Amino acid sequence: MSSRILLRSGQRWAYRLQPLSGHHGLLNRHGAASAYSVASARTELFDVVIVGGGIAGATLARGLGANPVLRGRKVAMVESSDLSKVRNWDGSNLNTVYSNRTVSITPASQTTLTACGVWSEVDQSRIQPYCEMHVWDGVSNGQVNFNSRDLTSPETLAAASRRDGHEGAPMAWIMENLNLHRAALRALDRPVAAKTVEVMDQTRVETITTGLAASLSHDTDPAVPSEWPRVHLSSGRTLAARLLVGADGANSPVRNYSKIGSAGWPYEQHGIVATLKLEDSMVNTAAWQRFLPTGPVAILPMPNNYAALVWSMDKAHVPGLKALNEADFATALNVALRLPFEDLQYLLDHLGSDRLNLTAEYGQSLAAIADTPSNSPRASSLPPWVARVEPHSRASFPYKLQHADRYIGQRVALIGDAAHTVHPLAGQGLNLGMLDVASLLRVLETAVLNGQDIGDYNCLLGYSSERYFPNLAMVGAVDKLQRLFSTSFGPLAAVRSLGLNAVNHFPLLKNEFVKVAMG
Amino acid sequence: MSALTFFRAVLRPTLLASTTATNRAVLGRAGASCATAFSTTRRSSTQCDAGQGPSVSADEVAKFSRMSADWWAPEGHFQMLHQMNPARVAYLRTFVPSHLGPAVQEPMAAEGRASEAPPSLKPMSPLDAMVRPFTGLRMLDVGCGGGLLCESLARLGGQVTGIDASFDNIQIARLHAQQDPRLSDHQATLTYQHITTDQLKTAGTQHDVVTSLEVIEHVLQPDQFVQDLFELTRPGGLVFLSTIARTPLAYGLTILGAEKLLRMVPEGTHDYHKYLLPSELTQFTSRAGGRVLDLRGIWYNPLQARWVLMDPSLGSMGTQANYILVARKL
Repeated sequence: MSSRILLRSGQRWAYRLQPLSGHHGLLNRHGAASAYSVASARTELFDVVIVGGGIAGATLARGLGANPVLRGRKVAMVESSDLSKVRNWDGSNLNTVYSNRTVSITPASQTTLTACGVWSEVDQSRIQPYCEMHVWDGVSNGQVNFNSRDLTSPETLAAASRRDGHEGAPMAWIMENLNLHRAALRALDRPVAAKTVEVMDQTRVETITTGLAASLSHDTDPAVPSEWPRVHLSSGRTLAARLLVGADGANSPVRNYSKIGSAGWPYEQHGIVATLKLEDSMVNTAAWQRFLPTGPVAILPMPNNYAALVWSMDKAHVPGLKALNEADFATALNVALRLPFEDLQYLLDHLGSDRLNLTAEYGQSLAAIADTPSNSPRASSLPPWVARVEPHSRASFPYKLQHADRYIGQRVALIGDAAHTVHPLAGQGLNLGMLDVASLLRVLETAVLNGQDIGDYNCLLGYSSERYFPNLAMVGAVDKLQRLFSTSFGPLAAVRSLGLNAVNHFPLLKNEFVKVAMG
Repeated sequence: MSALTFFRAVLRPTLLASTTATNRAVLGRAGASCATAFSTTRRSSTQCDAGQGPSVSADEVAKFSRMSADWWAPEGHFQMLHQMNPARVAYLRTFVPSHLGPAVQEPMAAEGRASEAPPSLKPMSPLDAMVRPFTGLRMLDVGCGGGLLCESLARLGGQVTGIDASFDNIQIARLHAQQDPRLSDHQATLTYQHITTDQLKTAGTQHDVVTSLEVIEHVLQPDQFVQDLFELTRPGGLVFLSTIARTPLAYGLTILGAEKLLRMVPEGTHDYHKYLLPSELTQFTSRAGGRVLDLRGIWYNPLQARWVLMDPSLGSMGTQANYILVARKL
C-alpha cells in the first residue's frame, strides 16, 4: 500500500519537474571530434570506472577494492582535482581551527564507512558525536527535542555502545568534509584496495562515447566489447568500462552521457557556513536548529566547544550578513537563535544602513535571556550562545534540489549528488550517498554470486529499485519541510507548532522521526 | 473505458514503474539500437530452424526466432526471464556444489560428504568455492535461448554448452557472449551449438549437470524430452527442470495477466495445454531413470522486481504456477 502512495507522488513529481529537465550535450559538443583524436590510443578494459573521487566515489572504490567476492576486478577512479591536497591535509593549513565545510554522519552511514574501512582512518579528535537534537520554530515557539535514546530497542543501544565504547548511541557525528574525504583516500591507499583500484587524479573526463559510435568511426578493437562505454581522459588514456559509475556531482557528465535527465529547482535560500566558538560554559553535545521564515539556522557541535554553522537565508540578505564584522555577525546570529523572529526581520531589513548599531539595538534583550540562571528549567532549553565567529571562516553557496530521472542505464549507475541533491536542512545529502554506496556494493556482490554481469541493466535494477523511491521520498520530504517552515502565515505556523509539540509528546511518533533521520 | 483498457493504461505502467523506476522511452531506444546491431547477423534461416526429432516444435522455434533480437534488450520481452535468473542460479548453487562440487579445503566440509565429484576436480579454498562453485563441471543448457543462464553458469566456473533449436537464438547468444571478456577466462568455457537433443545424443557426450528451464512447456513430446535430458546426463549427475503448472492460477498469471492484460510478454508466448503439473513432471523423471531431490515453487514479487524461491515445505501450495525441480540420475 505504502508503495502505491509513494508511486503516485513520484509520478506527480515527474510531471511537475519535466519541463525543467534538459540533456546537456556533452557528447554532442565534443563526441565526434575526440573519437578521432584518440583513435590511435589503445583502449584499456576496466570492470568498474568511477568518475569522481569525492567521498562517495572513494568510499565505493575502497568498498569494491576490498571486497573478497569482487577481488580480481579492475577498478579505476577518475578525479579532475589534485587529491594529494586532501591526502596531505592535516588541518594546520587552515586559517581557522576547523574547516567550515562539515557533514553530519548518521549511524547508517557510519556502518557503511566502517565496512569500507574508511571510519578507522578518520581523525577521531576532530569529530563530535551528539545524542540530542533540539528543533524549534522561530515563529510559534513550538519545540521538539530528539534524543537518540528515544530509540526503544535496547539491542541497538547495546550494539552501539559496544561499537563506540561510550554510553548511548549517537544520533550522528559532525566532522569536517576534509577529515572524511582524507580518510576515504587513505583507506584506498591501503594494500587491500590499492592492488585493485587505480586512482587517476588530476585527470579530466574529456568525453564518454558508446561502443557503437566507436565502431562507426572505425575505431574498433575486437577485444573491446561494443556495448561498454569508453571514457576518454585528458591523460590520453581511454578506459572501456563494464560498469560506469557516476559519482561526479550535481552536474554529472556521466548522467549527461547516459541521457538521463534530471529535474529540480534552485532555492531562494543560500547557505552561510562558518566555524563558531560557543560560550565556554555550554555543554556542547547537542545539535540545534531553529526554523525561521528566512530559512533554518543550525548549530552543529564540534570538539572543544566549537560549532559548525549552517544558516540558510534568503539570498538577498546573504551579502549583507557576510559583510558584517565578526562581532556583529555573532550578534546577528544570537538574535536569530534567541529573539523573536520580528527582531531578526528588522535586523535583516536594516543591514548595511549606518544607523543600525547591533550591540545597542539588541544587547539588552539578548543579555536578559543570557542572564537566565543556569539552574532554571529554562536554561537547558536555551540555544547555545555564540561567543564569536572564527575569522575568515564565513562562506556561502546556493542550494538546489535535483533528482535524476533514473539512477541506472545500460552499464551505468549514478550515486550521490549525481543522482540527487537535497536542501541541507536535515543534513541528509551525504548520508543518502552513503546509502547508495552500501546498496550498490550489496547488489554487485549478489550479482557476482549469481553469475551476472555487473554492468548488466537487470542486475543494476536491484540498486535502482532499492534506492530510487526512498531517495525521492527523502528529497521530497526535506523540500516540504523547508516550505512548511518558510512561512510566518499565522494559522499555518500555529498548526506547525502544534505538530512540533505533538511530536515532542508522543514517544512513538518521535521514534519514527529519529529512525528515519538516523538512516 | 473497458476494464481491459484500464488495465493496459493504468495498471501496467504502475506495476512497471514501481519496480523499475526508469524512463521507458530512453530504454525503448536502447532496445531498438540493440535490435539494429543484431539484425545484420540475422539471415533467413528458417530452413535451419525447422525442428528435427520428436520434441522440437517447428512453430515454437519460429516464434522464438522472431523474438530473438530482443533477448538482451534491457526492458524487452524477456525481462521476466532476466529477473528470474538470480533465483534459478541460487537454486543451482544450493544443489550442485553439495552434490557434485569439488572438495572445499575446510575440515568440516570435507568430511562425510558423499563424493559424487568427478575425480579430476582439485580441492578449492572456501572463497574460490563461493565465487566459482561450478568449477570443472560439464554443464549443458537445453533450450538456452539468448544464453541468459549459460553466461551465469560460465561466470561461476562451469564448462558450459548451450544448445537451442533456433539458429537465431544461438547467433544472438554467441554475439552477446562477446560483451564479456571474462566469460572465457580461467577454466571456464562457453560454447553454443545449433543442435537438438536428438542430434546431441548421437554424439554420446554426457554431462555433470543438465538444465532446461522454462523450456518443456514449448516442446511437443515432454516425456520424450525428459528422457533425452537424462540420456545426456552422466549417472549421478543432476538434471534441473522448471516450468509452469497447468492450474487456473497459472493461467491467470501467465496468460491472462502477463500476456493479455499487461502485455509483458507477447501474446501467444505460452500454451496453457502444454503446461505440466508437478506430478506429471515427477512421473516423466522417474520413467527416465531419475529421482527428484527437491521441487519447489518460484514466485514473482512485482514490488521488488524479483523472483523468490518458495519454501519446499509449502508443498503444492507453493507450486501452483512456476516451479523448479532437481533430480539425480540414478
